[in-house]
Amino acid sequence: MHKCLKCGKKFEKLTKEMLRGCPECGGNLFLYIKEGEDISAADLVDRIKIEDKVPLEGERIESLRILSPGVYELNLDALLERKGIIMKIKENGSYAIHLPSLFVKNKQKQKHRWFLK
Amino acid sequence: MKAKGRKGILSRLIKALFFRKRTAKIGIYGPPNAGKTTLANRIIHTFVDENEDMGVSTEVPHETRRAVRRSGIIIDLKSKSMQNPNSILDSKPGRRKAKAKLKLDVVDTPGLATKIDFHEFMAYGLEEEEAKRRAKEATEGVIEAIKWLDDIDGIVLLMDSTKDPYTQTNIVIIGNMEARGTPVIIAANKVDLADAAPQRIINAFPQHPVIPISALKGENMEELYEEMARRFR
Repeated sequence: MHKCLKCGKKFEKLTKEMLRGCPECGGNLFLYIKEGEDISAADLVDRIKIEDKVPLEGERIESLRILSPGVYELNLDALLERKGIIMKIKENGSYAIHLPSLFVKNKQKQKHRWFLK
Repeated sequence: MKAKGRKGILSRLIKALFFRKRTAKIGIYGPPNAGKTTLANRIIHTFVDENEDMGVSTEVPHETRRAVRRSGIIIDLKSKSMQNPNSILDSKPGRRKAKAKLKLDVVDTPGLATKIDFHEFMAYGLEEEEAKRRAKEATEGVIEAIKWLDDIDGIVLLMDSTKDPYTQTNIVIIGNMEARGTPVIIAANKVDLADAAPQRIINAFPQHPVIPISALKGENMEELYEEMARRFR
């Protein structure tokens, strides 16, 4: 059994999609737990508190991920640090860059709204 | 009568020009369901009008999905401390004396979250389409709330005392405010609940003032207002 170290979700089998990241949260660190025979290890893993605060992906550039319709993941760090908004639309590496958010520099930017499609 | 009115205008103008600092813009930030709108409404009810609301607060997270601004709120500590004989105003020697009057613009913001999933809203009985629309608006709301930070002089960061304060949202926002040099007051809300543990928040963020309050019940609000007058003047 594979456990995602980011969201804690367990997967019976390793799938192709998981090679690109956890299908649930996009995390890319998994821990293999032996079924049945190694219960103590599994317990140990369960005791690892999965907290959002552990930044496992230092190289994330996108400020927003659209995981599926109606499910969004926000990178608060990137949103707070960067002026522009970069969206990751699909796990295949498609990105969208919201150009107006990069170019607006004056005070008007507070009034500027952008919308998700 | 006419002359008196004119004098009033003149003295107000002089005061505005020479004695008043510009209005401080204060943002109420925090995770969803921390009680931001309840606090905003409490401030308005206390200092402006009992019948005016900044927003609707419900148990459904992300109820506020657009930042709402209310300008020109006069926080008058003197009049409030008269009403409350237990006021700690000026009672702590060595602390910077709170200014009696403070003019604020208050911005109630959508809850900051790292993940917004429409399934969360469906648990509150919303239809799928409505839940998805709400998730989209809430996501836009988070970005809008962050954009507002550029235009804000200080923040009241609201946390739920019944919850673990070590969350990504809290840590990221505090770190960023420290980097920007924006003053932060942490309000440990919901102390009226039995499982509230404001001490956890005090221990977690010792570098910032933490005021335990209940925005809903109005507990310890005066101390928060005093801290606001001290920090945001």
